[in-house]
Amino acid sequence: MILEHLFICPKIFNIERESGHMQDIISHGDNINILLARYGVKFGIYKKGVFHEQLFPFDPIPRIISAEDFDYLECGLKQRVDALNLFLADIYNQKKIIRDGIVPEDFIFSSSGYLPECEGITPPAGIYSHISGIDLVQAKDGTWYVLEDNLRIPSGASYPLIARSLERKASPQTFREYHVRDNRDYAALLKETMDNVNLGGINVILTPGRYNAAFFEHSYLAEMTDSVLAMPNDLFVQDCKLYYRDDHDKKKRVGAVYRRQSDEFLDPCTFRADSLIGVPNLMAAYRAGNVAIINAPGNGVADDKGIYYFVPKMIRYYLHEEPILNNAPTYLPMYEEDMKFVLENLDRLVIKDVAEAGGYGVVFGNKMSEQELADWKELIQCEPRRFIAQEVIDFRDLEIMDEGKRVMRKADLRAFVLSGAETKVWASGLTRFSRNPDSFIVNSSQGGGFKDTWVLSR
Amino acid sequence: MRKLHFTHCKKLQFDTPIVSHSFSLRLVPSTDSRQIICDLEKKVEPAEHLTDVTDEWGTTMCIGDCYQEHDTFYYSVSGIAWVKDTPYIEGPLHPIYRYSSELTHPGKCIEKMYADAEITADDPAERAVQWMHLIHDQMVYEKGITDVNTTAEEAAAGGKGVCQDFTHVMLSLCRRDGIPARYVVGYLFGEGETHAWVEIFDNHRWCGLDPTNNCLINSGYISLTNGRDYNDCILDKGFFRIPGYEIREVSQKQQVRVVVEDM
Repeated sequence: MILEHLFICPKIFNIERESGHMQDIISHGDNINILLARYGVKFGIYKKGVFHEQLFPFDPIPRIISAEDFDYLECGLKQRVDALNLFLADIYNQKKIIRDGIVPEDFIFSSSGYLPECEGITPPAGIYSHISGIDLVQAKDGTWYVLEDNLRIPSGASYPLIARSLERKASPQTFREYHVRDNRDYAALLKETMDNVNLGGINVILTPGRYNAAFFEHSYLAEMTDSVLAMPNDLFVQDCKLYYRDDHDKKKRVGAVYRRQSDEFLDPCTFRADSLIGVPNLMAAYRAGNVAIINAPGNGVADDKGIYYFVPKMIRYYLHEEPILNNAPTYLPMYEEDMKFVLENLDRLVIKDVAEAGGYGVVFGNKMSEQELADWKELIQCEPRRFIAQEVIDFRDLEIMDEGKRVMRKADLRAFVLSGAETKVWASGLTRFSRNPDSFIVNSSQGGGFKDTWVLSR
Repeated sequence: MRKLHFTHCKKLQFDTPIVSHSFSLRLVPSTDSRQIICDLEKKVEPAEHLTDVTDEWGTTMCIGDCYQEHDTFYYSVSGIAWVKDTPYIEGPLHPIYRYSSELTHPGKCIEKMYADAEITADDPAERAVQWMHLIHDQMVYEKGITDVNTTAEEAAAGGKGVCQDFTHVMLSLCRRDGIPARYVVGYLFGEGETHAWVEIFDNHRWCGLDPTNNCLINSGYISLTNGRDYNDCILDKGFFRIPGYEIREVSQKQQVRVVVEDM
C-alpha cells in the first residue's frame, strides 16, 4: 500500500521484503534533519534586504530514478550541454548562429547575460559551462521536460551528497539491498573538471563569504575536492597571473578558480566597480590565458529564459541531431503568432520574466483575476521581449513526509552535468519539492525542501 | 596629416595613506586608419608589476599594483599623433552598438525628443548630423550640474551638462533611430581635459561627430578609447584598502592636465 513509487521497477524489488529497510531510512528522517542542522547545512536568503539563514528541510523518502530513465536522461543532458557550450563559443567569437538566422540578434545583445567584456576570449579547452545544473520535471505520463538551464553558478550538489552520507550511516543495510548508484563520485568529477582546465597552479573555490546563500556548499566542496577555499581578499593578480596568499603570507599561483559569485561582482576593474567581493584585474589574467574561470563569465547569455526557447534549435544546428530531451512548450510574445496565442490563452499559461531567477518573476494565469489578466496582457504587449509563456506541465507529484503523514507534493530535479575532458552526468541530483500543497514553485529560496535522488544501477 | 604632440597627466591625492592598490589604466591611444601614434612615453607612480594588456575592443590597458603605503598616485602619457583631417575611421561594427546601454536607455524625455524631432534626411549619416544639431540647440553646456553617473535620460530632462552628457543623449537618440553609435573618449586640440564625442556607423565605416561643439571631428581630435557609453571608457580604475581594520571613506582630490599642441 505504501511506497507506490518503488513499483517503477517491479522486476527488481520484492517490495514486501524491501520496504522494511526503506522504512528504516524514513524513520531516521528527523535524525538526519537534526544532523544536517548541526553540520550547518543551511542556505541563506535575503528578505527585504535582511539576511536570514534557513535550514533546507530534508525529506527522507528518496526520489528513485530507474536505470532506463537515467540512461535516457544522461544521453539527453550530455547532448544539451554540449550544444550550449558550442553556442557560447560561437556567440563570443564568430556568431554564426546569428548570421544564419537561427537566433535573432537582439535576443543575444539585449540580454543582460551577454557580456561584451568576454568577446574574443576562448576559455581553456573551449569549455564555458563546466558545471551545468539542468532543471527537469516529469509529467504525469512519465515524459521528462527541461524547465531551465543553469550555466552560471548552479548550486545544490552538496545537499544530496551529505544527505546520502547520513542515510548510509542511519541505515547501511538499505544500500546493500537496493542497487543505488553511488553518488560519492561528485567530488572526483568536480576535481577532474577543474584539473582539466587548470593552467598551472592550485585549484581554488572562491566564495563571496559567510553571508552567501550557499556558503555551506562552498566550504564542503572545497574540502571534498582538496581545493583551497578562498575569500576575495585572499586572491590577487600580479603580472597578469592570479595568486592565492596563504596563511603564511606566501603566494601560490592559481590555475583554476571555481568562483561562486556572479559575473558582475567578479572583477571591479571590468564589471561593477562597487563590488567588494571581486578580484581586481582577474579578467585581464583570464583573457591572457593564465587562469581558468569556472564557470566562464558571460554564460548568462545561454541560460536566459528567452534563449531557452532556442536550445532545441541549437542542438540541430551545432550537432545535427534531433533533441533527445523535450522543452516545455514555450511561446515568445515577440513573435506575432505567439503573441496572439499568449493573449488568447493567458488564463492557462505560466508567464516568466526572462531576467529573473530563483522562482521569482513567475506567475500563473489560472491564479489571476480578470483585472490582473488584463493588466498582464497590457504589460506583455508593452514589453514582449521581457516575458516568455509556457504551458503548465502537470508534473508528477512525489510523496513527502508531512508531520508523520505521507502527502503528495510538486517536485523537480536538478541534474548536474560536468564538462571535463568528456561530458558526464552525475548519477544523482537535487530533488526539490514544494512544501505548500498548492505551489508549483520548488526553489529553496521560496521555502521548498529537498530529497535525495537515487539512480538505480539496474 | 597634422602632427600633434599630446601630454596627459593625472594626479590623485588621497586624504589618508592607502595600501593594496590594484589599478587598470586606459592611457594609450592606438593607431587606426585616421591616426598614427608614435613616440609614446608613459609613467605610473608608485607602481609595481606593470603589464600591458589588450581589452575586448583592442584598447591597450596598463594594469598593475602597489602594495606599499602611499597617499598619491600619478600617471602620465605623452606622444606624437599624426592625424588625418577626416571624420571617418575604418573598422568593423560590433552589433552591440545597435542596442541601448546602461547609461543611454531612453526614458520619457528622450522619447519625447525623438517623437518631436524633425529629422528629414534619409541617409543615416545625414540623420546623425541632424540629431547633433538638435542636441546642440536644445542642450546648454554647463559644468557642475551633472556627474559621471548621470544618464542620457537625466541629462535630457535637465537640458544641461557637459560633453559626456551631450554624447550620451546623442547616442541614445541615434540608437533609438536605428543608427549604430559608440562613445569615444580622447583629446581635443585646445581643450585642457579629456573630451567625449560620438562615432556612428554608416556605409562600412565609423564617422566621428562632436555634439558639444556641433561639428564633425577633424584633425584636432585624437581618439583614445571607445565603448557603449562612459562606463566602458573609464580611463583609470583603482581599488585599495587602508591599513588596519578601520572602516572609513577615503576621499581624493584629482588634478588632470591634457595638452595638445601642433608640432
